[in-house]
Amino acid sequence: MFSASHDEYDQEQQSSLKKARVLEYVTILYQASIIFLMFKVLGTSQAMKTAWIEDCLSLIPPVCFLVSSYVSAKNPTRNYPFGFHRIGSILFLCAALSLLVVGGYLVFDSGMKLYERHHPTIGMKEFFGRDMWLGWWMMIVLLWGTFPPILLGRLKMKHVKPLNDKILFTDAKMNKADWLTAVAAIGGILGIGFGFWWADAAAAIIISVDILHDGWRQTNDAVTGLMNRAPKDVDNGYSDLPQKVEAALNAFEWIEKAEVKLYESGNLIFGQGCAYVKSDDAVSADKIRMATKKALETDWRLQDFALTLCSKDRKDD
Amino acid sequence: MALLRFLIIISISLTLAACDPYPKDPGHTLAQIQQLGMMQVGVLEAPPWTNQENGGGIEAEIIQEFADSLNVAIQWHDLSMHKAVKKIKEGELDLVVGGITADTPYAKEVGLTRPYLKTGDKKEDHHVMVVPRGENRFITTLEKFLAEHQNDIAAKYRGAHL
Repeated sequence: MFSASHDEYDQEQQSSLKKARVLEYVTILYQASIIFLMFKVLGTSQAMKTAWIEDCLSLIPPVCFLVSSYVSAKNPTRNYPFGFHRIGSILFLCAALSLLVVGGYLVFDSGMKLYERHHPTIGMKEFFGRDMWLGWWMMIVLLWGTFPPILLGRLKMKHVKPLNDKILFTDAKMNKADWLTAVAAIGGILGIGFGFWWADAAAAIIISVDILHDGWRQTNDAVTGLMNRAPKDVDNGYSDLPQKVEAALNAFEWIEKAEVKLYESGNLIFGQGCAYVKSDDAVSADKIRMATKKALETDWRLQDFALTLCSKDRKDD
Repeated sequence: MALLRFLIIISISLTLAACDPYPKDPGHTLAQIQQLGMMQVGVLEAPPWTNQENGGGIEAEIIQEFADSLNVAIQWHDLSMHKAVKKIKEGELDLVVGGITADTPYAKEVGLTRPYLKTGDKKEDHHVMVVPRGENRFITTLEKFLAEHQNDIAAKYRGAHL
């Protein structure tokens, strides 16, 4: 089914893709171990519950990346003439929405815990024959879940630019920022130990606001991306690619002025151009072919580009 | 770097935590018990665990030993589960015993110790005691005592079921 390959990628990008996939598989395995361990020490702490849910949610971006990396490699078919590159954007929207909804719920839930003056009960717990306060076990698990993801995030970040992949970027950024969650949760547990019952709910609110914030930003990004707005680079500024393509077209002596409209399709860029010509006699099929080729050579991300001739009359409208 | 600062704060907190009794009671339950020399214990009618009529029972004996270890006396209050839950939430009781198991419907309202005796695999066979929510110094003190005496407790249980 996925026999096709990403032929839009060069050698270096192919190897980036392979490495990024391995990193995402490692992330899923590692995250699963954290989710299991966290579940073992959850107790009645709201901060732990919130951090645990965030850990569960952080499985979504790696899964989105992997699914889209296989599905989007499929060649276009008659019924899917533009290919399958958008699958990633759509999965990404679903993931962003889930962050938004769950984040909103957790802010409410944690706020209620504070309002109800919930005093978290944390007793003794024995693991591996060692009996100690469950709070210590929680902190150990939180630390185990902190440092390796930072490293994974850094490694993934290296492949973001070559692949121009926003899901990978979001995932890497979340991994790198994840230690904030652990800090908040550890602060909450330490606070409980010092007799400040509210530290737990306060930490939970910090974590859930962070989830909500991520969800809001990502939903925003995903929705506008699917609206065919002009392409943005992974660091979220508008790309100068339309201007570059226009400049490349304007360099042709027979084109008086070119207008280019581009949009994102997954990690690729598609679009169309409109060429106003000086005189109809100067145009030939060969010249249009040459100009289209030139436009496509501007950037590897530009994979589908149609150039049409526009009349001056329309320009004057 | 923020991460470094975080590590420093954590290490300072851990050092502080190691110096003092840790975790602490937000409501000072254990400190108050020791100050007054008296522990307020609610007792349900649940032989062989407790017996309101003669004040005996496995759990009553265990708690008497616990109070002895703290050098305090016990004021026993005979009541129903419903009343006991209300009183422990209001802070009038320090502890409730009486054959309570981990499947108690009040689990969301009160604090429970971890099971100190398991007579089977099901939750209804996991014996616990009811404590005030979040009084973690008192709870860990009690749980440690119960863990240290688990063989003794198991022997008492077998004795009562012979």
